[in-house]
Amino acid sequence: MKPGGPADVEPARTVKAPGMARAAAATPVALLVLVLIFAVFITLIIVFSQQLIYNLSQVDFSAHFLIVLVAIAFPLILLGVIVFQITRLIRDRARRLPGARFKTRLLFFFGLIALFSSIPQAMLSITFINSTIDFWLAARIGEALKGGLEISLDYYQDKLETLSAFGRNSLLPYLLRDALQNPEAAWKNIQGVNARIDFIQVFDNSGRELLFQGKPEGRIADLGLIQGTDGALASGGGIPGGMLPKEDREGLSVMRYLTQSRISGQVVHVVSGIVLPPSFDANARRITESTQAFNQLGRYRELFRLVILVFYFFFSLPIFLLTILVSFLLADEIIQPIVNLEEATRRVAEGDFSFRILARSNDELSVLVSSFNRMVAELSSSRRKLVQAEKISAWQDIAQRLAHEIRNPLTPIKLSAQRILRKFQSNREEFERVLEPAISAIIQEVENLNRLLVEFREFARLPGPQPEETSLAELVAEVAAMYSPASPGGGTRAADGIAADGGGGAGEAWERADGQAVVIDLSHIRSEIRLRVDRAQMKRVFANLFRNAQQAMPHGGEITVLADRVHKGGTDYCRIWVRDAGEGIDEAIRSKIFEPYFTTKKGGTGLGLAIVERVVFDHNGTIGFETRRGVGTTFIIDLPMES
Amino acid sequence: MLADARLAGTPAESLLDSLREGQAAEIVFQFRLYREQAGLASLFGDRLIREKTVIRQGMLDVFDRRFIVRDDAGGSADYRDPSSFVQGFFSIAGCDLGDPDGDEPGRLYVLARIRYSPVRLVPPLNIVSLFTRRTAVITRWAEAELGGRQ
Repeated sequence: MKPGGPADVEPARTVKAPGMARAAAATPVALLVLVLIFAVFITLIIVFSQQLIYNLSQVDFSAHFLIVLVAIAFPLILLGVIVFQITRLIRDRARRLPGARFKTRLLFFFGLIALFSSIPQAMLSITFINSTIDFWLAARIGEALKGGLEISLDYYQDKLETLSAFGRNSLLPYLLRDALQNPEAAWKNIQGVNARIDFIQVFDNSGRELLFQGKPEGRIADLGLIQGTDGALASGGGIPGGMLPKEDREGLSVMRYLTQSRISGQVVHVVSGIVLPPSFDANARRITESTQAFNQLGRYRELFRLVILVFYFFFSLPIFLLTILVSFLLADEIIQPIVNLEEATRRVAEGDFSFRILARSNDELSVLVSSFNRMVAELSSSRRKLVQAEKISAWQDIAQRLAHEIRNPLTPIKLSAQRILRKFQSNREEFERVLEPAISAIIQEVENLNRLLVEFREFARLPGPQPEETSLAELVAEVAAMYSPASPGGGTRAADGIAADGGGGAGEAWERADGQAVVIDLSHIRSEIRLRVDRAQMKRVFANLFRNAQQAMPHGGEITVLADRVHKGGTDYCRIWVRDAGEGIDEAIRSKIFEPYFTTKKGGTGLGLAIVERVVFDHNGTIGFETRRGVGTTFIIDLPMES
Repeated sequence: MLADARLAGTPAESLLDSLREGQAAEIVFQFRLYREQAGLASLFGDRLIREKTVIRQGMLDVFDRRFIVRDDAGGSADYRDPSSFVQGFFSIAGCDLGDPDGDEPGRLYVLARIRYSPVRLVPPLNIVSLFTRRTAVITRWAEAELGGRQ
């Protein structure tokens, strides 16, 4: 079977890192939403600058409130989202979720960069606005505007006085006396008297034009300018004469003076006038408007400065906040694959080879994820092959041992049976003498076979632990009591405050059948250590260890039991040492002592330490040993305090 | 349907002083014609039939020493006399709100309000008007009942 082939593919499962997986999955949508919000915001700015600032009068009064509300609400909403994200990050950090610390650092630097780019921009903008306001409010600008306006007014006043003086001139009837007969000569005379007069226009009482000379731009086209409310000219309710309102038309400004005169005995209405230069009106309007703006700026200078600052922050703060928000999403985008890899690596290390990480993009990280997935698939395949090979090897080993263990009693059984048969056929006298020992030998070997099979069955059917809270010192003392002086081959030295069953006093030794004493010292077990363990199974553990230790000291000695609390990998454990003073374990068999059916003792099943390891493992604990030839062996058991 | 409105109680001197300083003043008349709704429709408020806004600017022509009132429709009026100008600037007469359908049920009424700025702020200075009420006076909505078929 090829690694990674179809048969090796297991259902892929995406790694779920709490909190972050959700955010990463929503990243593209959230980015799209942010882009849309940003577009809306920019549109608002454009609408604001175009429609509001330049055409404020047209905006509904209530729109002012709405605009200010949006300007305040938008950053507040963004701020709320960011506060929520920060709270979640703090919670993730407190829960020590993978990637939370890296994300914090990323966000810190993103924020710092955003801040570093915003501050110079803000300072530049504010300085520019302030200097611009100060520049336009400089005294010389005001004086220039005032001077320009005064010059315009003086110029206009001069024209006005010239025109008024001409209109009131007593020589006017004389100048116009032959005007109807010879208009050019009359105009020449007028120009001789005052060359600054640009045109003259004469009407009769009915409004009929009698004469026009001079610049055609000055000609009155609309009689309403000089007509009274009754439609008549300068009589019976008409305009009494004097300066007429300045006419501004098509870029031209025309000043007129209306007076009455007599030509050839006929009453006429004479309009004399001056046409101002084409640029006068526009320039005067510009100067007036600039003066107006200048005065307004002077009046609202500080308020305007403040408002500009406020608006700057209204517009720049949301952009800054948007940057932070985008940073959150980007941080998730960057961190999530790393978190997934970390989680997947941990699961694989724990032995779960079915995990696969789903790559959501085609970037470098997805290549890494694909490589990781391939590696896990190959590891999984290799591991299965290895396990399969180990199983086959183990079964072969067991078959060999079983065959060996079963064959051993079969030989004496066969020999005994053959002996009985032979004596029965050849020597009836000896038959009766041989029968009983031969049958006894057969029964003994069959019983040995039966005991062997019972132990195998018990090992195979070892039930799961039923934990209950118990005192370690009491539990060990109960086991040690089996080795008390009342029992053959043992004695105990009790733990502090614990009375060992069997009445063994401290330091009291049990005399073995061969006269050698074995002492079990429990005085180093702290009496306050309490564990949640299956009492029966744990008794079996200590019984096996004590029996092994006893057998390792054929000439007697001391078995010492110690226990204490240790902290390992974030968990509290109870560490138990069981030490003997035997000959130690041969280096050649050290790696096999926990294997089932491995034994060096005649008649041993090889299941004692296998059962010990299995029980400790079922209690989520670990077991190991240290041994030195000629000094002794110490078995070390770690059991979690909260099993 | 024609509507008249006048801003009362505002000192004329503030207006004239502003214009003599070379500023322009602005007054905005806003009219809304409503028909009262009955039944379930009233839950959504009364129906706005027509809305009209008239914006006027008042200024002083420093060359001719005359007061000018210009409206957003392009019309203008000149005044030599300050009191006539004040009267003409603060009041509007005959503002046409159209002819609502008289056969429709429901009371007709007009809401009107006026915003007066002694100094018409030029862009971009007008931005300050968003943050302060010192630059303008805005009246409450005043209601005038027109009657109609109930």
